[in-house]
Amino acid sequence: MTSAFQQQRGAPQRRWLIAFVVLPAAIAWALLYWIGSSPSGRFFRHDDLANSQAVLPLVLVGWVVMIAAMMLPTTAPLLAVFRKVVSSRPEQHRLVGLVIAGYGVVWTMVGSFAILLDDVLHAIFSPPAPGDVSWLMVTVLAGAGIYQFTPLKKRCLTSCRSPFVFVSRHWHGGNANWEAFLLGVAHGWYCVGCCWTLMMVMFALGMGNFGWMVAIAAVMAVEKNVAKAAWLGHLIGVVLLGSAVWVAFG
Amino acid sequence: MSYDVRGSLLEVCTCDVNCACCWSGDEPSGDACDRVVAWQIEAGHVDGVDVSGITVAMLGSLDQHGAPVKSMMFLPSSANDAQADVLADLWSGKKGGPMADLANMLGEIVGVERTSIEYHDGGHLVIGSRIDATVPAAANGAVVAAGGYRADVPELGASFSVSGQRAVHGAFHFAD
Repeated sequence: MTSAFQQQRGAPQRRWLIAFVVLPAAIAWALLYWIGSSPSGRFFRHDDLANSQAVLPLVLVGWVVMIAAMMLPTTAPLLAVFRKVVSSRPEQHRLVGLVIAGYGVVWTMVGSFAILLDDVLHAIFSPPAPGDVSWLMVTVLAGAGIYQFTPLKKRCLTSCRSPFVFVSRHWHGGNANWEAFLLGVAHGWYCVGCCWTLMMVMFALGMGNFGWMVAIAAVMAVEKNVAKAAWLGHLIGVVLLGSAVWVAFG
Repeated sequence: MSYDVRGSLLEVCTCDVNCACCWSGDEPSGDACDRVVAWQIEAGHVDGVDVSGITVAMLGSLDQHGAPVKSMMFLPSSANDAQADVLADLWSGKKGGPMADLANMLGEIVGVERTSIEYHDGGHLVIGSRIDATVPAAANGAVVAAGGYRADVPELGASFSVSGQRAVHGAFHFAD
């Protein structure tokens, strides 16, 4: 995808893509790696929550960094189209920034909710003893697997795939700053619809696990942007359901 | 100068996944991303001219090698001259506001043709003898596979017949 992008779009566009997408995502991935490997990273790590080492606001920071790393690259097509649309406006960079901000606000809200929910669940259910089945894990995996086959998943995914129509729907000629922000919020909700169950799987596996994050980010990017990926979504669903069975009975 | 137009739109393209794939980095199925967009104005006025019920269509072509976007505009022969004039100006960005932004995606307009434009909801778009596309009904914003998509617009080097490529239904409201 990147090579085709670069061939077609020339240097200014390439610089823009690097500034708004590639660089922030790369920094976020580096931070994630640091969180996962450094001793002070434990304050951000979600899998340490049970050890009461984690500080909740810092876990949220960790979550936002994770979203920047995993989700920003998947928004590249929409951002490319939006940037082209506002390219004759002097405030174009601010407007692109506001789309990203709106997108980030949605994911931060979802992250706050997920962290609190996770906290409550951990308070209610004590962690399974070694060797016992984690039924919470089974439920999350099975739920995520089933979701892959639902019409809602398909609807959210395809809405992420039509940037021009999406921008047309949200660009009316009102206050440009506000509309750019709301466009980002709307795109954020669709992407939450696409990916929230995979994010829950991430929670179940532990947010500090770098390898799992890379794998799930790759799956989400491919699912959103690669040709005829419907079979892939179903394959992921089957794998998740299989994992649920394996965790339960394996 | 002021305008307010709203209605539904249909986009049909030669891309495999995303319409406007040449902007988003995906490969089209052929040499170029050729997409037709039809805006059905349900209610609208431009500079005091009522344009309700008119469909404006545009074929846009972007090749894979960085050439600027070029588009051909189609206006219905049933529209009167005043309507055709304001719509041609609006869709080429000359009226400012959000349509001037959207016009950045449409690029240079190489020609405006008055012809018959028929669009049967959730079915069949026919623009003169130039474009013929069959699209299944779908919810707003949902990407579907077009049944067939044929174009004959040599001005843009766009003469093709494909099937199974992408199409999207949407809605619009532009005002300034």
